Amino acid sequence: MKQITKIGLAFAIVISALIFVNYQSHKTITITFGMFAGSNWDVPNGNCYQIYENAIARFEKKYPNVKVELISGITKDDYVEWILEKSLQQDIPDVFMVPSESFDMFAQTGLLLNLESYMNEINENVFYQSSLKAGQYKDCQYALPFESVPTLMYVNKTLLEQENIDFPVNTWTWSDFYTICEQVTKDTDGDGYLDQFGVYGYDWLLAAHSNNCEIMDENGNLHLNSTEMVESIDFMKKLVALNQNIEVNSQDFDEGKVAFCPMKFSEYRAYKPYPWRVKKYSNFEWDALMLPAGTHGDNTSQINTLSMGISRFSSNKEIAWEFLKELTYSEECQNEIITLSQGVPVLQNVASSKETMDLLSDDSPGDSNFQFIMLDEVMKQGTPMDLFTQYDEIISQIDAEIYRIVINHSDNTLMELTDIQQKIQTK
Amino acid sequence: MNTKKMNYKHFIFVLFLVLVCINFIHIEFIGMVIYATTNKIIATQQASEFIQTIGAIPYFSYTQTIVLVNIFFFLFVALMFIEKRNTTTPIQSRILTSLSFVCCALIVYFLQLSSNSIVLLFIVFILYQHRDNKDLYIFLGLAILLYMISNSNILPIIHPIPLSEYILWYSSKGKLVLNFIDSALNTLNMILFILEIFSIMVFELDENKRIKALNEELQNLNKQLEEYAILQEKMGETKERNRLAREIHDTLGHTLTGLSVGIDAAIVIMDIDKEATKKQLSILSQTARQGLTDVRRSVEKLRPDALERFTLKEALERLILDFETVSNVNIKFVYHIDTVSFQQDMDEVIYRIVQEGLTNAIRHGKAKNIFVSFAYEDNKSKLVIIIEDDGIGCQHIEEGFGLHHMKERIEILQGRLQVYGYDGFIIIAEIPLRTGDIT
Repeated sequence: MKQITKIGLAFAIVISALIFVNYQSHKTITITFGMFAGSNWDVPNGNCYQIYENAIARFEKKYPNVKVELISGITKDDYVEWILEKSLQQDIPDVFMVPSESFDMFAQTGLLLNLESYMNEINENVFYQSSLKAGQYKDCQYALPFESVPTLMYVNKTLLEQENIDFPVNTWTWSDFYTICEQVTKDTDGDGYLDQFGVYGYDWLLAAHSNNCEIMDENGNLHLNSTEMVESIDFMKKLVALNQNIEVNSQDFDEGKVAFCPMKFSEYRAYKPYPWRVKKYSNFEWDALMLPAGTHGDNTSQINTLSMGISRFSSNKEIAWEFLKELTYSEECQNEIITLSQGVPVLQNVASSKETMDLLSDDSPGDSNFQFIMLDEVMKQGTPMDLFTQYDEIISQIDAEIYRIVINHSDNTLMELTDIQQKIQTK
Repeated sequence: MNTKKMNYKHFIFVLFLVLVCINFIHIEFIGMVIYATTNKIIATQQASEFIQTIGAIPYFSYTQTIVLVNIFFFLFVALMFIEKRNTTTPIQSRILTSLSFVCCALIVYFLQLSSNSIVLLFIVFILYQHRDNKDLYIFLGLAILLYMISNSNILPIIHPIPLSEYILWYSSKGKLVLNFIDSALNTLNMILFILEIFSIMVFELDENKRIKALNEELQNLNKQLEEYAILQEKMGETKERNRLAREIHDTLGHTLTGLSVGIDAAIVIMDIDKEATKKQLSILSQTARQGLTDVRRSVEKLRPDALERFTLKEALERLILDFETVSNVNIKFVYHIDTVSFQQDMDEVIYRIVQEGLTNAIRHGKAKNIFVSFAYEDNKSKLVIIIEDDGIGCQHIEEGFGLHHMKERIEILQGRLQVYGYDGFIIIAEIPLRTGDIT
């Protein structure tokens, strides 16, 4: 009996010591925020920390006993590796950035906290649904969106005017797109080689997205031989055939020799305002438009979203949640995205507010056809990028194969695609 | 036999110690591999590749794993050794085993299911420690469940990371060495586990045999004791008879001898001296009365104690109270007659019948409730006593010593005894009343 009492006593002492230490360390709560430096959208960003520093200052004012530590200095390329290294050391930041390419992996490996129990605190409908969906895994919310970027079609207005072609409408289709491309593709200097082209940078993934293709389903099965996919690849073949084996490069677009170029909204934001515009595209006027709709699809944009999540191993989940809300759910922080970043705020009323419109208009001098009212429309109609686990790896494999069949103008697209699917699936 | 037993016990204990050591080495080895591999992975920036291969974030960092596993391993071993000293009560022992099971489960969890050999150590421990109580099955069930769960990924909440996932990150030579150490430790653990279980089984069989032998010896002794008790009883009876004979001889014999001699003298002197004869006869009459008193006193001495001091009803109530207090039985006593005492011999027979009946009901019938009732029948010409119980009864009534005695006593009083054993046990005694019985 004595022995039992002794053991019990020892247990009690150890536990009370642990509780005491825990209590002491929780007097002032410190949470950490992990982020990468630079822009998520691979465009130049002068001061990437400003927006987060402001958010932290506001948050610390609201919660005087909380200190938010910003962990900075990691580049975007090193970020995922860095977070996973931290996870092996159980030293993950409480709140951290979740790039959409890594979201599935983060959620699947149990790095992210399931936010479902917190979600009833907020009104989900204030977010753009396509942005919110970027943080969902198996019907559960694991991350909240911070900023989104839709992909839009950029049009060389000057070139279309020269060729006497009307500026396309937002509801245009593949056939409209192809007709214009066919019209503008020509040899202008008469040297026997084509030097004016329809489109640069339009790839099979964009075509597939515009035609409502699902590349991989939830169970990890590829669907490369669907009717939609065959149509997309056939369309790509037609487009590429126009160029008569000449590779169009980005310089051609910069020099004003290409009519269309799909671009992320962030690039538009980064390059359109002064002084970037002067540096990059000085000799023509350009504007943005929704992507052309495929036979089975709509004019939907692909929306890429940078989300924020909470570590499942965080010891201050409640405070981390409050900070997450400050970043994603507070209008103050979302408002700053317009001025300090290149994305689109994920809160509908912030993105469609008059201030936002004014700020965006100020950014783009000269006459612009791009209606910023459209931005709201694009965000509402857009669909999140279909970013499955190991996305980059699988897409690059498919990419190489499809490049081959598009260039070779092979006749039987369905058979080729079925072959590719089997080849990749067996890997 | 005793030294053999000690040897077995010693052997089992030493094997157990070796098992503990091997498990300790194994978990230290696993800790080291996790530590070294994680550092290597971080240094070579392969964290994302590593996590994508294993498919989950490890729940604990390597430092946490090593510290937690070691703490709980020592706690686990300490708990087992405390319990092994056999100074604990069954409840304490149950608590200690439960705690060590929790430690064992936690170690498996902290290692994120990369090894479960510690469960075998726990199984060995409970097989030995709880080998002769029912707790064994509960703990064995729990341990087997834990072993099964840790061997497969049934539980969706725990993502197992086998040690092989860590070993994968070494060169082919490193893989070879680490795999060899791991499987060697596993195999050694398994072999010793089987050997230990085998030893426990042999020890158990041996002990069973020994217990059986002891049991037989005990039964023999018991039989001897029983025989001796019967002998003792017989001897007591003889003694009592002798005492009775002596008493009769001393009192009645003496008086009767005196009387016969006195009467003889009276016959002789009757014709000579009438007066002297009268005197002589009155002396004889006095002697006879004196003798009667002596006989009464002797008989009195043979009566049950309670009857000497109390009326029959009171004596029976006391008897019942006594039974109720000494054995956990509920006796209902109904006395439907207005007579509190009968003649002495009758009282005694009734008292003995009730005493014997209650004893039988409790001793043989294992009764919980007994009903005793007294009533007159046929216009107060008969006394009926019913003793009824709810015990196990008896399908074939063997007339033992007690029942036989009861019958004998009643027959002396021209009564009748009926017994039934179908549903509980019922004794019905009918005793005809003599004039003067009812006082």
